[in-house]
Amino acid sequence: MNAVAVAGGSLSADAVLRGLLDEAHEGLLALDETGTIVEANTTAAVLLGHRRHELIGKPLAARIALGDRRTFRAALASLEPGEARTLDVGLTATTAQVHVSLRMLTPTPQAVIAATISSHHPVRVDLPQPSATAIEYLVARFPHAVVGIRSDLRVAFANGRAESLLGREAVRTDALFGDEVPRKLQELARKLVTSASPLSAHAVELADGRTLRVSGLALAEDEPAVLLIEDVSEQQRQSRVMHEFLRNAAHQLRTPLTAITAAVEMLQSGAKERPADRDLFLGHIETHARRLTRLARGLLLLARAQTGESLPVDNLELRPFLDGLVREVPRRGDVDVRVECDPQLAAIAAPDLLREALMALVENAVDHTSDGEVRLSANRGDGVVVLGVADSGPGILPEFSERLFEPFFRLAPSGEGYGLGLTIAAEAVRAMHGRIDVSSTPGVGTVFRVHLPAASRVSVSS
Amino acid sequence: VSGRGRSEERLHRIVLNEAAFRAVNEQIAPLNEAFAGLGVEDVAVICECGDLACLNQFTVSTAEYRRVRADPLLFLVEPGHELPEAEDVVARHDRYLVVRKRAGESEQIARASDPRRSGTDDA
Repeated sequence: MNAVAVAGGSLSADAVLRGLLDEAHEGLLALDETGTIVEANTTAAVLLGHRRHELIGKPLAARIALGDRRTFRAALASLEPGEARTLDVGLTATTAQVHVSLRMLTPTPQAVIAATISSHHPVRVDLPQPSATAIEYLVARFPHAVVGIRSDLRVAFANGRAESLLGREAVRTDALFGDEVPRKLQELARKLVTSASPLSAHAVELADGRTLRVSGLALAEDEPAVLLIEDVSEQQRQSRVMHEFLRNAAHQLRTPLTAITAAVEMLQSGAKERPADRDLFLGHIETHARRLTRLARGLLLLARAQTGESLPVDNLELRPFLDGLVREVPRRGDVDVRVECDPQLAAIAAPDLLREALMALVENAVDHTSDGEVRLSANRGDGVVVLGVADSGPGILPEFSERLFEPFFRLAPSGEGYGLGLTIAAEAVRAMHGRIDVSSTPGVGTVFRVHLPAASRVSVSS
Repeated sequence: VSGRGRSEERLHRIVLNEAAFRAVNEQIAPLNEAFAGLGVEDVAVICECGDLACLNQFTVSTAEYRRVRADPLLFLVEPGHELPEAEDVVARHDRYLVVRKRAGESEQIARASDPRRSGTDDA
């Protein structure tokens, strides 16, 4: 092997030659007499859209644009030793025209043809082109459906997600992308293969209620067009739920804010000069500010629960806790709230969360009881403590039971509640790893039960 | 007020209160506009009855609110909060009534206290 002396040692002549060839601004290739690539420099690889080693052994004609391929083959076949031919052709990897020069260096039977490719435009070198295997790997594991569609609307390839989304038969290789898929999807595919432009995102509603987002890459020379199909039904559902939650939250926040603003306006318009009127409107402001605070606290608790944040729990002695809670419950009419609890009973709970949960349940019970009593009880079960909130109200129809814990669900359109109390109760209990259920008899009353882990002994701090 | 009977005086006070609540509803328009941006498209209205202790709320459509407010004699009150001796119910809805002031002192007060008399229209 010839060697070239360099500072500090020597390099093989081949390595030096390769380095020089790679520095060239033109694509340089060596072809055999059939036009198969036997060597290529880096610039040629970039122009042809493949890694250098992937080009070796492949016909150069396959990288020439379909429309120019016949001309290129004819030029190659008619080449004589020592003769040079030049032609302008398109390539499959780029839309720009390139200038190709062919010169036969040695005669047949072992002809070597030098091919030079130069571009009229600067060659942009980005990342190395992934190999076909890598692309197949990516497509197969792509989270969205990918369907290659030829100009005759027949399926060239499809990944597993496409099979599960559209059905195996609909995307079978060589099948017509037609009858088995929704009409809108079919129309988009037809539009894609008849246009030179990529397909921007379109929403396609399916008969079963799902929504697909469809976009596409146009046909590239002899490569199929590619349809990208994403099932966005769940995203849309979540977006609708979030929108509804925000709208409801805004609606509920507006009520106390409107009342406070109105009371302030009345005070400023002269009511503050009359002691009785002033006290009346200050009372309104106080009431609604308190409601606003509770609403904000409830929304925050919901937000914390939905992010999965866990809160510290402790052994909680229930009797004093429940007695204290009942003292805080706003009284209404002649409804009495009574506590029934064994003094020794304790649960593993987060006091703030349990207070929110039980307060919501007791207030709900008081709201739905016109006279009689609300009973707040605690009993030991099998490793659990069951806290019950029972009212003697009108009861809940079975069809509403399942929706009781939904945010902003209210049995009656009027009333002072925000429709968040029971949701907050359920989320608070869930955050303490507990369980909540409800049983109701129309005309008799309703019982909510909170199941929490029982504590064996009470800590000093509780 | 000399020369006025007790019931007249009471009625006068009530009508003034109604006018005050109507003015309040005009003042809370920016709040309604702010919430409209959050998808709450109706208008929250404080009952425009004459009872100072009533700060009850109901909602009306923006179009309905504009329609009512364009007429200085019209007020929005909860069902049961109308004042039969001074006003007529001109429209009934589940959550609210539209009442019109009759000719006389209540009409005069309603016209004089019209918050849109200066030409503002920002509900």
